[in-house]
Amino acid sequence: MSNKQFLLGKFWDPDKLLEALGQLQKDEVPVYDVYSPFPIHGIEPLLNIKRTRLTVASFIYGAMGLMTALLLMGLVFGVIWPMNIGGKPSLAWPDFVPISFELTVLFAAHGMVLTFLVVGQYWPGKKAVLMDDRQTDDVFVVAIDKTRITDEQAIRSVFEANGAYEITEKEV
Amino acid sequence: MSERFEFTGRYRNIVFGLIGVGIVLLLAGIFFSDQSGTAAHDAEHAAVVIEQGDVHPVADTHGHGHEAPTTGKRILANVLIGALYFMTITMGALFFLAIHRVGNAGWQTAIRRVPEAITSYLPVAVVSFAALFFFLDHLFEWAHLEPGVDALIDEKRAYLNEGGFIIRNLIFFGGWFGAAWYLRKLSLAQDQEGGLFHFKRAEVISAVFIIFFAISYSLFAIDWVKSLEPHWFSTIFGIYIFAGSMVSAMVTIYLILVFLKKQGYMSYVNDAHFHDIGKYVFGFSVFWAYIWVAQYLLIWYSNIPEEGIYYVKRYRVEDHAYLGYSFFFYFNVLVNFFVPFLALMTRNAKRTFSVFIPVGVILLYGHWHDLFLMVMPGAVGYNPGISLIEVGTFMTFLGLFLFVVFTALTRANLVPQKHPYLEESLHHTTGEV
Repeated sequence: MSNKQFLLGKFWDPDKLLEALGQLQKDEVPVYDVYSPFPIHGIEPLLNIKRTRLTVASFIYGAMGLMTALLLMGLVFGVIWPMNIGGKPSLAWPDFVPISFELTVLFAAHGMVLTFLVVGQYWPGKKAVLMDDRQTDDVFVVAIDKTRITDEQAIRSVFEANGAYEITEKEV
Repeated sequence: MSERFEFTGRYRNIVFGLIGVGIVLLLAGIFFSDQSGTAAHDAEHAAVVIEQGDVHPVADTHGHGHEAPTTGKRILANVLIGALYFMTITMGALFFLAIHRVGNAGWQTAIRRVPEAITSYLPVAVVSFAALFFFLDHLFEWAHLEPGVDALIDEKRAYLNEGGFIIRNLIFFGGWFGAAWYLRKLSLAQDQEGGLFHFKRAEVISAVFIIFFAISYSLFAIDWVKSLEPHWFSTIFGIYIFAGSMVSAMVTIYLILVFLKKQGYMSYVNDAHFHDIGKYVFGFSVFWAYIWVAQYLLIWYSNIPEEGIYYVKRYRVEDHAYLGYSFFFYFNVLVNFFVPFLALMTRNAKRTFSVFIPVGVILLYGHWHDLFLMVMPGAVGYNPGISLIEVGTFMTFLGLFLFVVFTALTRANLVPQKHPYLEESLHHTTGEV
């Protein structure tokens, strides 16, 4: 991982953090990320996060699952090895319904999880990025990439004015 | 915070117009009815050949899907569909109120006066069913067949007899009406007095109602719809009716809210409220399809004549002259599942009125279509098609329903002022992005 210098503002209170973020957004400061023990309500617009496209991906995976199920069952029961089960026609739709449903759900769910892992860059053995050891416990951290800012002092004063208990720097 | 709906002028005229035009269309339909199916009916009497294991009608009597297709029967069946249609919507709204009170759901507080107003249609729905008590022997095969004609029906007479039917249905209606009336009374009293007394009392009433509802609604569905096919067995039928009622009740609440909002009322109802009701519509239409498949799949697999008869009547395709419902049968799944499933899947579709309203109207038609398909083959036999009688009866019921609901809306403040969850509901959000 490339070494980057980060300017960190640490807060006890997520509401204070939101106020600081609002000020930073007004000053057009690029915020690298926010680290928090739990999801903070209403933080997305302040970080300029766009709506996720995971749902679209999920639909595509689901459609793929449906196709796979129909193709597999159609080929097996219609072409390769037609079977007589209980005197029913081998290519009837009612018994296709549960399997089509299951494969649609299976593909959509697993596809979404894998996409999430890939997009979030989580792989086995990945080293966790910890801006502060307590960011998973009770500390809320705003991280700002130092190479992308010009007026560091202004940002420090925004942190201070909004009640950051500590302002540090860290190389990750 | 106080707001009152005024039901005047143009909308009052439209509602009365619906009733008037409906009655005129119904009368015109009776006048022009051509007794279609009579020729086929006579032909069946002529053909005495009964094949072994065939589900074709018994030639010398009526029943088993072989009925005299009179206009009177058709009107009765349509009245039953209309009564069922709005009863199911009313019960869906009542269930909505009860389940959210028991679940301590706060988000629905701002909109709850709309389902409350819908439940005030319940007495009218009960009257429309009570009127049908006098025509049971024209609607139900078990009520007009003499004992000794049909062994299977005779076995079921311990339960399926007119006296028991009327008594247990009166108990169901009484219980539902009591719950609806008392919940409404508590809600209105809270507007005046505030405090937590009415709120807590409503929780108890709701919990008791839900248990009563689970049993009585299933038996109600069996009595009024399933017993039109007295030979048929299905253990999932009550849930099937319930799924349909929830979809149409949610759509109705959504559409009435849109109407009120367009009139300038309820400015505090935001996208998130609509989004949540939209989720219910989407979810329950998928649930409906699930129950539809579950009911059909097992019957299809086991292939027992007593169970299969219901579907044979409805989708038999190799013999188009039989009852003529096969197109209706497949169209039912299209309008009730595929259309809402694909159209309402995205988040924005549930929030955008221009997308939701057409889908909602299709779903409301779909519920009627579903009931038509459940009632008609058993009550009338041959598919009479959708013509003036069907449209007229439905419009009359619709006008009556809208009149009662809008009148009930004027009776109370649109905001449940002193409800403890009101503040939470006013700030309801399902995420900003």
